Amino acid sequence: MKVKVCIGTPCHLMGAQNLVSALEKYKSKHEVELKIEAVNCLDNCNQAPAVEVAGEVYAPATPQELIEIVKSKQSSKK
Amino acid sequence: MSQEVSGITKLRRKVFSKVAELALEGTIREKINNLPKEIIPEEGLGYRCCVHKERAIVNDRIKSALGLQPNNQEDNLEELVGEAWNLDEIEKPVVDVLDIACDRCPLDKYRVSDACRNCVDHNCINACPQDAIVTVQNKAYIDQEKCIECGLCKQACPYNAILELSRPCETACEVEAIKADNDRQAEIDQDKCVACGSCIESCPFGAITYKSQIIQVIKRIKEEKTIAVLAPSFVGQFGPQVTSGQIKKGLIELGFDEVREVAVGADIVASEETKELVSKIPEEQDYLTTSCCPSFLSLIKNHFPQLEENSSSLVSPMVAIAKVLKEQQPDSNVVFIGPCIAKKDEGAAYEEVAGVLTFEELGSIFVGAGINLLDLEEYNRQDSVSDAGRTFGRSGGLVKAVMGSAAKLDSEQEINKTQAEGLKECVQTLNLAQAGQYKGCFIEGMGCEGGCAGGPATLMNVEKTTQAINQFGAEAEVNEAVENKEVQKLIKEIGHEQFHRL
Repeated sequence: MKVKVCIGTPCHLMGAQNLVSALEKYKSKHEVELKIEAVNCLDNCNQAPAVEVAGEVYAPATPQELIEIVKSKQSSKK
Repeated sequence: MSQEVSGITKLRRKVFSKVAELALEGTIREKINNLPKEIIPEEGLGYRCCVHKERAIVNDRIKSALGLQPNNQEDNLEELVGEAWNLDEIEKPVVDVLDIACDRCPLDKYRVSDACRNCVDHNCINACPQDAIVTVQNKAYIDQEKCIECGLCKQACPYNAILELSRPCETACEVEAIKADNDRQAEIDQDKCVACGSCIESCPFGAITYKSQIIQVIKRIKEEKTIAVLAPSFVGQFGPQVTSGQIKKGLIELGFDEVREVAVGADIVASEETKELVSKIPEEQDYLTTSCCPSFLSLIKNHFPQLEENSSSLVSPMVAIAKVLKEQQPDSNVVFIGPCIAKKDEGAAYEEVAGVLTFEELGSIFVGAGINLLDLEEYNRQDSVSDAGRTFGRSGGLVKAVMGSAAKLDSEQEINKTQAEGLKECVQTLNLAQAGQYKGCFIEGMGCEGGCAGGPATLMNVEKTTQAINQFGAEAEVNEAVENKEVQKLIKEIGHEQFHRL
């Protein structure tokens, strides 16, 4: 599964780096197949930070929220 | 900043970005009264009792973002914008408690938890010098009227059943500057505060904030010739993919006429401080403390006044580069941009510094202007700086710069060195200095852990910034400040006495 994290300036200011670290930690801890990609903009600046999980754009308020989104996407795939 | 970007931090940055956006598009007067509604939606954020309180708090945050007193009785923001627009200097104090946001945390310092077994010995009761502890419903109970908060009961309990509670702001403050008043409202003692920003980060209610200079700087950019000077810790602040050239380009896009590195000022300071060190140590004084960090310098002034004579006489790199630029271009305004809140106080004391922004404020202005740094090209102008100047802003950077230059000048003299990072270590080090523990020593003091790289208004974690700073330093043409020929020429032209404090 592919997760795009926007690291553009508005998302950076709202903690995009925390999302990247959380994803990397989750990936290595659970040994899941996850392709993490940093992108310039996801066109969702007003709700920064923005991520795209399996093609859908989200605005998680916390890193935990993002991990939950990733988990639910993974389980729905199975 | 080492922890995650919290909801409170995001809210502060959102307020900053919106204020910047309106100021940049010139509609701030018309639209500002609508901001609390725009930021706090009808259903509220769930932080407080109701949407009205959340909006009232945001209203006070906006006042602070305008650079005004947040607890000002005037709640009509439109009325306040004009006043803010024409502010020349930041209104003191820089760090404020947002009175209505303070949750008035309980004061009872010691409380008995459920771990109390109502044991036979009752060590707590025996230990209490005030007879403040009795047993109620099979459990020890502390009469708060009698308790003098000595903590003996806590030490005496073999079950660790007595809890020590303290307010996060009080715990975070190493200089005991923040206290609860009789109403349990937090209050900052300005004679003790060193504006380090620890309490701002610590309060989980977000009840402490700092005054911004966003709109005053935007006014300068729009109306006058303005030069941005970037503190050495700027590299990597906007993420690992954003280059230093893109950050500089972003400032030009905002309308700054020129962008310079404060590392030039650091080279000036390191060169002069090295001379001061070798001339004074050990003959004139036992040790020399650095004077670049405004919190460390305030700590000495406010809490260790008898040690002030051992402080370096140098101005900070910010002031040094501002003096150079004002000399070369008298019609320009110099705006410092860095990781630090205390710099706002320092900047206000020097006429050469027109304003001080934090990286957080700058990031908010970029967002308000719709600038995404990743999309920009590089700004090509390079300053001539040394590795030492570029690494000045991380813990150990001052020692490295001054000892490095000293080795080039006078390799005979043996000088000890020590460094303190974070106010706690600074206090410990100054206590040791007071006790005469340092002989022939150069003492680096930085109020933040990690040095400026760990400042309260940074946008990246301190380890990553430190790596980026070291890398950027390694790209410099020369290693030591005294080897920077352009800086030596500047010092001669302007006169070295200009860089010493009165």
